[in-house]
Parts: sequence; C-alpha cells; structure tokens
Amino acid sequence: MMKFFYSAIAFPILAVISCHKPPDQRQEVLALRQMGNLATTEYVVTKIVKASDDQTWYKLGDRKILISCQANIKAGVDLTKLAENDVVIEGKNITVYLPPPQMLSLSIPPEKIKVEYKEVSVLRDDFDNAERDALLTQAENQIRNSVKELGVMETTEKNTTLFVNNFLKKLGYESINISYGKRPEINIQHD
Amino acid sequence: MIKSIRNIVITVLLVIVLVFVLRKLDVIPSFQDVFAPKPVVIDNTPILIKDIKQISQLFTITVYDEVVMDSTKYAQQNVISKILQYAVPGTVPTGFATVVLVAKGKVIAGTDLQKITDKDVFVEKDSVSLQLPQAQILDVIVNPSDVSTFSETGDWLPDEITQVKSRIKNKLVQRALAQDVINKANTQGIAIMENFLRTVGYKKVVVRVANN
Repeated sequence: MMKFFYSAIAFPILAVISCHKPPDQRQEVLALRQMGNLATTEYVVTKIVKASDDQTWYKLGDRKILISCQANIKAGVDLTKLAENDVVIEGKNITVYLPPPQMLSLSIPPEKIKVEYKEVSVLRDDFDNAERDALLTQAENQIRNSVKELGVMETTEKNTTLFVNNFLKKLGYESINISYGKRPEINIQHD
Repeated sequence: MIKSIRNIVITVLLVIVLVFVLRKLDVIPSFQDVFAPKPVVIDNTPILIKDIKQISQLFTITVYDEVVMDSTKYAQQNVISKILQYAVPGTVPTGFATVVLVAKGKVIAGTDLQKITDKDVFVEKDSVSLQLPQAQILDVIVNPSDVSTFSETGDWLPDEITQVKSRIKNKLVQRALAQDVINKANTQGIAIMENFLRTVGYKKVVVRVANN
C-alpha cells in the first residue's frame, strides 16, 4: 500500500521535471555585415505613449505618464537577391522582377523622445530611465507591427519602381517594366 | 493514533505534490507572482504619419556594436534627502547620482544614390561607366529596446538621459569609423552596382567612387 503512495507522489514529480526544457544558451554575435539594400522610402511617424501604473495591488498611489516619440522607418529592396533570371532584355526593352519590398530599419532617435506629462503620487517613486525605456520598447514593437497598416510596402513599391525606372532610363533603356516577386516560370514544351 | 498521523502526513504530501504539479503546469500562480509587481502596459494609441520621403540610399555595411556609457552628477539623494529635509529643516544632504547604460546599436553606412547626376553615368553600346558618390554614415540606430540600464542611482531627467544616449551614438560612430567602415562601404557599393549593371545587360562595367 505504501509503495503505491510513494509511486503516486514520485511519478508526477519526475514527469514534470523531465518535461522541463533547458534555457536557450545561444550566444549573440555582434559583427560587421555586408549588404546591398536599396532604401527608397522613409516614413516619419509619431506616437504618444500612454501608461498608468495602477495594477499592482499592494502599491499605494498611482503613476501616470505620457511620452511622445518619433520613429523613422526606412524600407526598400534587397538588391543582392536580384539574379540574372529576374531580368528579361529585348533590345531597348527591359523587364525586371525585383525582390519584394521590406522594412530595412526602424529608428527612434533619443532626441525625439519627450516626456509630455507625468503624475506620480506622494507614496510612489518617479519613473526611472529603465521604466521609461521599457514603455518605449512596447511602443517600438507597436510601431514595428504596424508597418503593414501604415502602407509602407505599397509606397516603397511605387518609390522603388520610380527610382529603378529613372536609373534604367539613364542607362539607355526605353521601355521599362518593373514587377515584384519571382519571375513567372516559362514552360517550354518539347515535341 | 499512528494510523491517523500517517493519514495526515500522506494528505499533506499529496497536497504538496498537487500544488507542485499544478504550479509546474502553470495552472496556479506562484507565491512570487502574487507579490510580483504587475507590468505596466501601454495603451494602443494611434500612430500618426508625419512625413513620407522618397530616398535613394544604398545600405552596404551595417556595424553592430555594444557600448557602455556612464554619467555621474552631483545631486541630491532621492528619498533620504526628502525625509531629512522634512525631519531636520535646513539640512540639504547631497550625493552623487550615477547612471550606467549598456547599448547595442547599429551604424549603417552606404551611398546616397540621389547624388548621382547625368554626368556620372556614361553608356556606350554594351559598356557602362558609373561614378558613385563617397559612402557615408547613413544612420545610427539606438532604439529603446537596444538600451539596458545597468545601474541607476539618484534622479535622472529624461533630457539628461538623452545626452548620455547621444554620447552612445557618437561612440558607436567613432568605433565604426575606426573599423574603416567608409572604405568598406565604398568597396561593397562598387560590388553591388557592378553586379546590378551586369544583371541589367551590360557586358563591360566600370564603377568607381568619386574622390572627396
């Protein structure tokens, strides 16, 4: 009978411990990286960061803060992905299949961050730098996730088309057709 | 008597095991969580588009770097000084306030293709010659998510932190320049444009960078 009880206690403990995953120990490597990104669009956006610290039950008094910030989003295409297969040339006519546009950088310059208003009750400490940065990190993620809704990719397609069009005209091409994505496969039927 | 003690011990053990298992499965919160401060979550406020610019920048090199920057100022102590000021009128205790930031930043170097004029492009049949402007630092990015506060004592105003972050940006640029980033960006710019011009049909391609 006792053996059954010990087993009943030991089994769930072992089962739970065995399911525990070890923490990810990958090392981050910072380095110099070569690239070939053509940035054609820059969006300048602003956001008001609004936060209230009133959810912790044992802290007496509230804290509220309003921070305004500006972000610069740059988008364009990765020219290193352009292969010979993506270009069709017929005399002075050219068709280029560019890689799809992507966000290349997001920058929130520190000098464009401003605390507009804050309200801290007597029993609470003021927001310190680490707390302000944590709030701004959330805003940064919200901006990063809103790139699609802001229409950045559509504008980037237009601007990239305009730039490549003008550039190829300078090179002497007369009819220029720019598309995005992979060149459609041409099926050649052999008799 | 012994039987009832045994029953109590077994019941207690079973309860402990049950709590342990439920805690591991995240069914019940831990005692630590009950007393942990709730994270402050920002409201989902709208994003306002202030400006849309058409640019033509070729990003050729990104330097990822991590720097440490500290700042110290002579300042009043935070809570203690406030209490002492009220308790003993006329007492103004002073001390040093220190902040140490660790920032992972990005320096992007490349070529501003908007500076290319008609004079810089020469085409003859299947040959092309292109002169690129000198590469430059295009962006220095230190976002809030890239900065961690290693130590912070005393009260630091947002403007004072901005100054520290500006020094971080300057340090990132200096370190990138020390890695010869401009020359590397020029070389990479030439390689990218040569490859692009060959891809769009030119057999003989000469790309060079304008002198300063």
